[in-house]
Amino acid sequence: MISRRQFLLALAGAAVPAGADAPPDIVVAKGGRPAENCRAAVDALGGFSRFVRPGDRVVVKPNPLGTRRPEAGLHTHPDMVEAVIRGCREAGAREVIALSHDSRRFFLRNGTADAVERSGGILQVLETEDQFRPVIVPRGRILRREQIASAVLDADVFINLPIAKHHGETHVTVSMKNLMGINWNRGRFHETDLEVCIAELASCVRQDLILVDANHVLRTNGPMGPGEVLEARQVIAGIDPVAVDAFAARTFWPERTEIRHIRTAYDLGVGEIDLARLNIHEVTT
Amino acid sequence: MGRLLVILAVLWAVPGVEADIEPAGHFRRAHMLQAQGDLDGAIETYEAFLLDHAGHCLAPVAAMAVANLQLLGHEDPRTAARDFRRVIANYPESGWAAEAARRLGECLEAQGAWMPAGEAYAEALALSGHEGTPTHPEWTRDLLLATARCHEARGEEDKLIDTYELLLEAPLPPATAAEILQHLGDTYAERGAGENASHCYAQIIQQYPLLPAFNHAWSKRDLINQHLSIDWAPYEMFLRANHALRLGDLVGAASAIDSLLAGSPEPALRGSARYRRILAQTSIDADFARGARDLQAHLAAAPDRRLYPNADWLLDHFRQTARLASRVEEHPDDVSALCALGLRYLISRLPQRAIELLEQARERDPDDGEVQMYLGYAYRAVGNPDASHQAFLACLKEDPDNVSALHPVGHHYLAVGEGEKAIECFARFAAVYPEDPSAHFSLAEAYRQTGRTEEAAASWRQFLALEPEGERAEQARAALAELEEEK
Repeated sequence: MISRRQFLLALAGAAVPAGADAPPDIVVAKGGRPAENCRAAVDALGGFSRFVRPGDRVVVKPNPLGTRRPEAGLHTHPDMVEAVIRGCREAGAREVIALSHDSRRFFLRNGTADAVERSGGILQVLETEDQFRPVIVPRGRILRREQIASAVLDADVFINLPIAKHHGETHVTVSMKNLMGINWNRGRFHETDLEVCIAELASCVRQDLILVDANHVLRTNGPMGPGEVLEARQVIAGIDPVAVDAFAARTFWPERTEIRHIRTAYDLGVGEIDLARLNIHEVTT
Repeated sequence: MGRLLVILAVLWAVPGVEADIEPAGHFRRAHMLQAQGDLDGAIETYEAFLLDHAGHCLAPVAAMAVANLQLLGHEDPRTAARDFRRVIANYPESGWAAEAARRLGECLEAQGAWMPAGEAYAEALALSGHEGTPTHPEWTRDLLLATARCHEARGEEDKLIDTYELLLEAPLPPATAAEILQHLGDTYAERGAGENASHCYAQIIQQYPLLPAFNHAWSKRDLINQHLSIDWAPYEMFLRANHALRLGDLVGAASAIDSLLAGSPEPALRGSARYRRILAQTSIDADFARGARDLQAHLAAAPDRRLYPNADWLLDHFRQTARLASRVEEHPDDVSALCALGLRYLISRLPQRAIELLEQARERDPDDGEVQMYLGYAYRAVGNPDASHQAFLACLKEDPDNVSALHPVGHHYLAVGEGEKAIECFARFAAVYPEDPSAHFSLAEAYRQTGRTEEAAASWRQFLALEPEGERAEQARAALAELEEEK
């Protein structure tokens, strides 16, 4: 039963603070196969029906980079993509689109396209500018208007499905960096200040659910590998991109005291960086 | 429903609850309203936050968001100017003040208020030292250009010079300082103050040998020689070394740098030469672990590591290459590692070493298209076009849409006069990446070679729509004009 205060906070658009009757801020499901971990994580957050209503149009955004096997830790495990699409459909989603602004051959060769097809989803490779619409970035000091995938803007539910891996330029790529794949013009990010742009982009994209594939974590030499792959067998779930990314970074790259784009997103009010203030729940599958 | 509204009304009346709402809640709500197209609602939400939390660390973010929504959403520069002024006045030491000043300048420019706009831009530059301020070169360049635009509109050359001179007294990032010196030098040169201009250009040459402004200053040597006496020999040697590095002549580059360092070059030139020497030696020895250590030590001792624009990338490259080399030593059958190390060697201008590794990878997995692709580039780098072509073809067999292979294969066919095959390649490239101008440029060339002029013209036009500026755009326009004449 939701309390009166929580009800008020929810009305005001605030996050419901952690409490005995509130869902956790972050769930870590570990030990099982990618699909099992994924389902367990969502169940602990309240199940797919907490996020998806019957008739909803859902968009999921995996990280589809590379053509190698999922064990290389380069792209979101296709089994996770499949599990999420199935979960959304079981919750009554009218359609589930899996998309990214990446090479079509990645989807075709790394198993993502097959996973989408098997689970009854729709694959949408973002290839042309007419698939995007401008969005104002109010909390931007570099970005002003960004071209965001129309499918994401029109979706009832947007689920981010990043993989946690090392990145040569930003040290880690988790949920916020993965948003670059719903954006048209990435050149400006690299020409100016990549980490600030990532944070600013995160400030203008609503993420309803984040499910991080940490089943095989590429700890070094990312984003293309090969590098040291940690078989962590985890899925990290949450709705706060800063919290989720900060948690993944601390778990898999504890040697880094701070990741700049995560810190910048916190400074923009995107989410909570202080893990001590979060209700983190662990489930073993 | 009526009962729910009553309950809500009562609940809202509970004192102190509003103050409990966390800042992120306000921001999420504002974002939600913006997404629904309710810009006024979003602005009100940010304003409500400011009212309750004026001293909160997120207050400048909210204030900036209000101004941005006025400017970008309502397209109301007058109101936005008022709101940007609030950011500057209330949060001058935040990372937002500089950008607020810049956007204020834009609002004022839109209203034709050149003088206050120029002052706002100058203020933006003055505020740019605070943490969190954008410092990328493009930001400074745009701001300088905007400032120049304002002063030019008002014919205020002296003021422009004063602004630049004033800025140069402050500690600036090297790229910013070099750019300002370049603008200042150009302004002096335009008004015939050759000596002042020479000092600016000479300062760039002597202090920033690795920054882009160096090339511009270097082109002004005739002017500098009229006013100053500078020994150009060490700089010429440095440029020779750079040229040799670009050509992959590592030993030649190292030798030129050693000669330079044997003399007494200016400190900045000495630092730049040592930096290049580390680069050359690392590739000569293919000892990237040592290269990373040497580079790290060099950067740690440098007065400002931003004097070396690619240093961080290079350091990461050296470290990654060293890690991969260890991996290949431990796991000589790891095709992924062999392939990745081959690519790293290719980047380091060691194509022969790259070929050795990539051939090992190919032997272990002949069906790996990526290995074949890199082999294609490696063989091309050592001047073996046949082996290169065969490798690219093998890549395409595995991965027919690989544009990195389609492009060179197409050009090979063009070079040997097999235009139709070239068209096939480039058309495939254009189908896979229709937004890539290179696909259309090459396709146009292939159509022209085969006499299909209508299709060539269409491809040139498609190219120009994607890349309207630059050398290739000039070529495309000339080709189009030629095709028109032929008609």
